[in-house]
Amino acid sequence: MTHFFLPWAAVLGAAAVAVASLGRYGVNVVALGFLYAALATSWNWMRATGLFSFGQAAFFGAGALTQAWLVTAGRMSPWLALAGSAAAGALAAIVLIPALRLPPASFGLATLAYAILLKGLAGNAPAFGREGFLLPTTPGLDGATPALLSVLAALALTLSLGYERFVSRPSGRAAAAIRQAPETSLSLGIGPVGERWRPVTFCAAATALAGALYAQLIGSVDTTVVFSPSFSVLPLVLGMLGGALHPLGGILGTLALYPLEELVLRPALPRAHSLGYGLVLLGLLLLKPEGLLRPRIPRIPASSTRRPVARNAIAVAARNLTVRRNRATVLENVSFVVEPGQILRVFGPNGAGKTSLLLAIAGRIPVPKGAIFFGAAPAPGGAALRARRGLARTFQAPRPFGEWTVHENVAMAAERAGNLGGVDALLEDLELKSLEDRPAGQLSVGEGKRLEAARALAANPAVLLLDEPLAGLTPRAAGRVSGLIERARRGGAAVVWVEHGPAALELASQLLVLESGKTRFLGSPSDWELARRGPRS
Amino acid sequence: MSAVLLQALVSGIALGLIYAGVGAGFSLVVSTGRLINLAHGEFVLVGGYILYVLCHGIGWPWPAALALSASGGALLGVALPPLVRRLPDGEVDGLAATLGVAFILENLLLLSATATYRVIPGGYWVQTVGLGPVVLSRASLVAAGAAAAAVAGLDLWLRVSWTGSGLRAVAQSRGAASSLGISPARMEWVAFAVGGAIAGSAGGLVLLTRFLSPGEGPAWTLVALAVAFLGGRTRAIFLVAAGIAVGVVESMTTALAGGGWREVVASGSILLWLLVRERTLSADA
Repeated sequence: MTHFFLPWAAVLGAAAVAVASLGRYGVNVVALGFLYAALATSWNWMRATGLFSFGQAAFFGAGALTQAWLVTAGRMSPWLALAGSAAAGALAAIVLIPALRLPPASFGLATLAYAILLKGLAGNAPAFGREGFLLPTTPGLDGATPALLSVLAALALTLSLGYERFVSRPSGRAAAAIRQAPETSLSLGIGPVGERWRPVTFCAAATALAGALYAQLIGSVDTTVVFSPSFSVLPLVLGMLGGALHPLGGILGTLALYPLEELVLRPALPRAHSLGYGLVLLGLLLLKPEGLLRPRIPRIPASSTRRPVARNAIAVAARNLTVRRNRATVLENVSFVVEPGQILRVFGPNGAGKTSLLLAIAGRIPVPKGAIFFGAAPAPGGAALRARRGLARTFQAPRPFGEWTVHENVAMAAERAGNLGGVDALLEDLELKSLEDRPAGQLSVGEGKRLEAARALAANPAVLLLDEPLAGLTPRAAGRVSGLIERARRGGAAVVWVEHGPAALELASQLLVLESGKTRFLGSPSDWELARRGPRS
Repeated sequence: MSAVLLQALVSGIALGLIYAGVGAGFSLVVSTGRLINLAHGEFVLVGGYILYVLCHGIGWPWPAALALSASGGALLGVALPPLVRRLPDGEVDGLAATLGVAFILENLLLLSATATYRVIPGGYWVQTVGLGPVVLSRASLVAAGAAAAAVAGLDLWLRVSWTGSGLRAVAQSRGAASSLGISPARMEWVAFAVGGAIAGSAGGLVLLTRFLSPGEGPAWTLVALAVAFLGGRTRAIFLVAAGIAVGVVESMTTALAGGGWREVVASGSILLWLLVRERTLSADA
């Protein structure tokens, strides 16, 4: 942790020198600096989960307004009110929990709209009014005081340290997985809402606390100011500048831009000093989008104390399955049962509904009629839940975690199944050992397909969904993949395998032939041969 | 229906037509340019300020000044494609970049025009016209009519002209359009220019009916977003319906509860749409 604490020690030392030499002005400037660093780090932490917030002002304003209202109308102690303000930020985040499953741009727009919504509601609420609040004087928390400065410094440091710890824990790895490949994360049982709500709520509370401290620092709260877009753009710019995916990004971004704003822009352009933020943002996006500090990519550990997850063998069944996509019926009344240790091969021309079938079993598309069963019970709702029940899948076009190595891609799935010890063997079997240190985003299509198979098999699945796993592979590689699938079957997995062509058809227990979404044939491979030859004259 | 509510309804319809005009250029850029332009509100303001300086400051006739407002908006619009093409990631970086542009434009407006509210002088434009039991100012009537004409004109152009067909083709599939000899890049330029021009001229309508202030940009972007989300792409009938819906709800809420509710109505609509539809406009392409 030297790489973390040493820079922070330097920052705190410099802050102490500034305070000692500049007096009350120094306290004010340094306090605001730590406030900005806290806001930026909070934004970065959300960014690490794959979310892009354009509306931090929602939480900042909620905290500032709550603090002002509690100490004036509520006559509460300001120190106690800080806890209430942080709670207000956390409560404000609850509204956005359904938005956590949205793609980054949609979430960004949702936060933007939310910040403006809260501003409008607060401005029209009689309790808050439009005149704002004047906070009563409180010893220690009245303006730029050493006590307030210490709290702000502690907040910034705590957020930075929390982010650092987050990155090294399973939750940080899960967040990185969602950020890199959301669909693949779902297939490993990593749900965006389940993984994101804790860090987002915590960051919202921290941002609200920063807002409350700002209220104490300034001594007054104006609704239009504390919900101003500046408090949304500022953490975004500072966080991105320093490095959004690094725990020290927030403090570095603040050190880089805040003195420039305070010493140059504000005196030169008192009415338009935030012009600099817009220019820095554009410059960053065009020239250095990753920021000054390279991303801290969470690494997958080589070993784990997690025990192997016990997987009960389960049958997967479809009953009268009917699926609609883009206003067309893509599957109609499809039924089958795949027992543990069986392989169902799915055939059909393009557009027959093969991939839709896999998506329906995986829980990725709704099933308006009919049902999917795992064993005797209906399949759990949602793709992440089904993955945690033991479902694993491959994708037709490889979707690796591009920032992680080949080894880490497989290890991520293996870790969740308590099967880290099996990674090396899988890589050997699929001839990926020589590529294990290569970033998965640099693989060829064939190598990526083998990685798909390795990742799915590393999860020790009870149900295995395969979407053309042999397509694009050499005969030798196809043979190896088929061999591992057969091994999974012998281990008790129920396999649904979509493939064009007859490769490895001899492994199939049943065939399902789809045509225009309907079942044309369901039965054994030998019965299919008979049916194809037709009656002899 | 009480007289107050009836007045609010009619005012809301007039307001909603202006909102449809603001949203029309925005929708065109989203569908063809695949960009959600968070600086759209600032484009509207720049157009409005150009009209203000030319009409109120120099004494130009209103139509000529409006033409220059449209040109100003078009110039801003065509500045975006070279910027957006250099961005590494798709939708999110586009949002961030246009947010940066919005910040820059707002601050430049603050520097040049200051934060003073700008309104057209009284007299002819604020005189009311009786429409049965309700009244509307001349400014509102003219602005609503002009906005409706602009939206209808855009719709007609997209459906009837070759360029319009090209824009619609690119909006549906860039690859397929390209294979037919339609240049997606060229269509993008057209979309950004026309979208910007509509935004700039909408600024003139804003000046006629409300006021200009550099800080109002985000509010107008929000209106454009709400109209585009609720109405879909560039079909006039849907844009007008969406604009009227937003305008009427805002007007009714103000009549019943008082206060400024434009931002609440627009932002609430957007948030609700995102939570229900689970995707942005660009994802529809």
